Amino acid sequence: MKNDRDGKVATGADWIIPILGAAFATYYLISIKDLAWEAKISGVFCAVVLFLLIAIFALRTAIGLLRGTHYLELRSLYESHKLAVVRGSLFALTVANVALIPWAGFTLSTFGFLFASFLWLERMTPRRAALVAAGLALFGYVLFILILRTAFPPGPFERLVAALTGL
Amino acid sequence: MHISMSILADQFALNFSYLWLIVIGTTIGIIIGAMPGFGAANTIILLLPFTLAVHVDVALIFMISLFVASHMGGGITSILLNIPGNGGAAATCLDGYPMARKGLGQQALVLSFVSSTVGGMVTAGLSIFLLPYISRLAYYMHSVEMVVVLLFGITLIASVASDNMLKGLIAGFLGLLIGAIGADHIYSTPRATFGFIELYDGVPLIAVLIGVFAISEALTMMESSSVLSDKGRELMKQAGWKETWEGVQMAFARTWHMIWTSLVGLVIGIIPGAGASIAAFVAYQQSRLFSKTPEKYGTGIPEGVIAPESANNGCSSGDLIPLLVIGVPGGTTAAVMLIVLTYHGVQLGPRLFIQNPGMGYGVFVTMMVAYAVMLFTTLPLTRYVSRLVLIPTTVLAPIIIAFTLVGAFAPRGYMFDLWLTLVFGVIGYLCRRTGYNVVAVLIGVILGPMLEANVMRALRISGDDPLVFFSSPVGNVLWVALACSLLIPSFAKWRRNRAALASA
Repeated sequence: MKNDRDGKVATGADWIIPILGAAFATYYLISIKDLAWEAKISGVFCAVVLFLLIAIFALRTAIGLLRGTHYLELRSLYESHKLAVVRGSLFALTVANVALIPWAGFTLSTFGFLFASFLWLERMTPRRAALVAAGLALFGYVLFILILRTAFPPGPFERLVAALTGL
Repeated sequence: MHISMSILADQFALNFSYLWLIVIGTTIGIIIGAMPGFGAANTIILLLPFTLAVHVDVALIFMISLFVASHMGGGITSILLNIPGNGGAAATCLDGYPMARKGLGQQALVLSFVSSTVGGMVTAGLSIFLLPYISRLAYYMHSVEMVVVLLFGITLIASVASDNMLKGLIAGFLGLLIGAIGADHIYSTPRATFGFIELYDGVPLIAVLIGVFAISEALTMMESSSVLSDKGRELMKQAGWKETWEGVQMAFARTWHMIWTSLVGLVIGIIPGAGASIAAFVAYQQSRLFSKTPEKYGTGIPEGVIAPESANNGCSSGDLIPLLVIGVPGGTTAAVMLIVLTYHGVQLGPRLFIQNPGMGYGVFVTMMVAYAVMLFTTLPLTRYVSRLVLIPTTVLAPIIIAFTLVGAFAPRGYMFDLWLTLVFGVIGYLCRRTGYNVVAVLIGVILGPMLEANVMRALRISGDDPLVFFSSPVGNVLWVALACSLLIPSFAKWRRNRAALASA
């Protein structure tokens, strides 16, 4: 992650993946400690190599910081407040969409997710957002549930259509 | 297995009489191929009432058309949205998406369609005439040889991560470790499942694919109002039929490249259990290896689209050879086809070519006709399909998320897989933002479990003797080829540096 600050390398945010990797590798090794060697060998090999690579990464970063070729920053994850809000909203809406599916079913939850996203992110008028979201949700219902028979938990819309049409 | 021209002529005539069916089959195949989580196998299962009810010739033509088209369709979303429709199209993202961002999406789509067609037709044609010889390859490819073939694919981690090797290797080994989640191959004891029974079968590949590619891409694309660069946007707005023709010329200027990478796909496809994803990764890696400009791979070059797409489609011929010749399906779709054909009373294996040679060879004739049909139906559409990238990201990103989540749920029907997809979405996003290659993670997740299974099988058969990996002549030849493929780039780089120093 070279940037324009005198050609120095930014470090900080790029530590998240190695930390997550090291934590997962540790958990992996603990979870397999009582297993037979055949069940362990590939995991142990990958975990050990991962630890080695992370150690090299740590060493390189530490040397870089000491020599002044690296500097600490977290900007690559949080460029601006506006972008963080937009991205955070999209992810929060996605989480809400997944959480709603068991109760609202695919069609209504997809409609709600798309409607809210278009309103909030694209600043569409409510009428337009509702029309586009309804069209896409209905398309999804026909394609994925009626034609491809994806077994989503049925919601009020799917139950209503099934009761009215037998589909 | 003797073939006569009259058999082939009859089969071509039969296929042309069912051209309408091929058009329907290929259209469905392209659509489902472009949707992550929906493969040809699921669709053929859904359409079993049709394939079981009609005449066996009709069923076979329909299934083959759908099967080959699904391989071709996977590249569309890889190129336009950086979201592979299936594992076989994951390598296409590496150069297809950068091409689309530069405003060359239409040319990239044409390259994908032409190389898929050429790859599919060449391998189908070869399969017709060399079937008795090609089919023997499957007998020589055992666990030991598979280990080396898989290592060929895994070395791609180092290639895709060439801009930051250390981060790429960390991502790759993290992927390999994630791929080692689930029950082990010998005792079926669970490993690192976090207590979730849904992870006993391992991490579902589609959840990883959709998470690290689709969800993270949707989150990343919010940074700007368009997927395209400013220059790319201007180019795309002016795009017309000329760009389609340009794509065709680009592809045929690299005819030999299309042919040899499709042969890589054919050979890998013949091995039962190996699939299009391995074929595409290995072909990409080999294409980069033999290139005079390997540093350009990953920046959006035609060869980077041609290699995985030709191999992916070359693999579709190879997938069907074990099914037809020895009655062993080479992949999931072939297994579903086996069920349909068995229901119709077709006996697969050598007997098929004695009792009903027309059907045996007809499979490859159908493939050739289906590819020709697809080329003529898809090429005119590239001009319109490629405009998908002009949609503002604030509209595109929610649509991508809403519809790809269906793909994460569809294969197993677990709500758990949707949550897992979101977790991988966050991991993919963090990787992208901090310079870790998501393709390296995916290579590890796809190829890791296969490598482990084959290593374990080889060790088990040999009584835990590690020398088994150097015990077969074919395997040893492959080891030498692997060593060469690892050493040649370093040697070439050393020579280039020396030449540059000498000229300076």
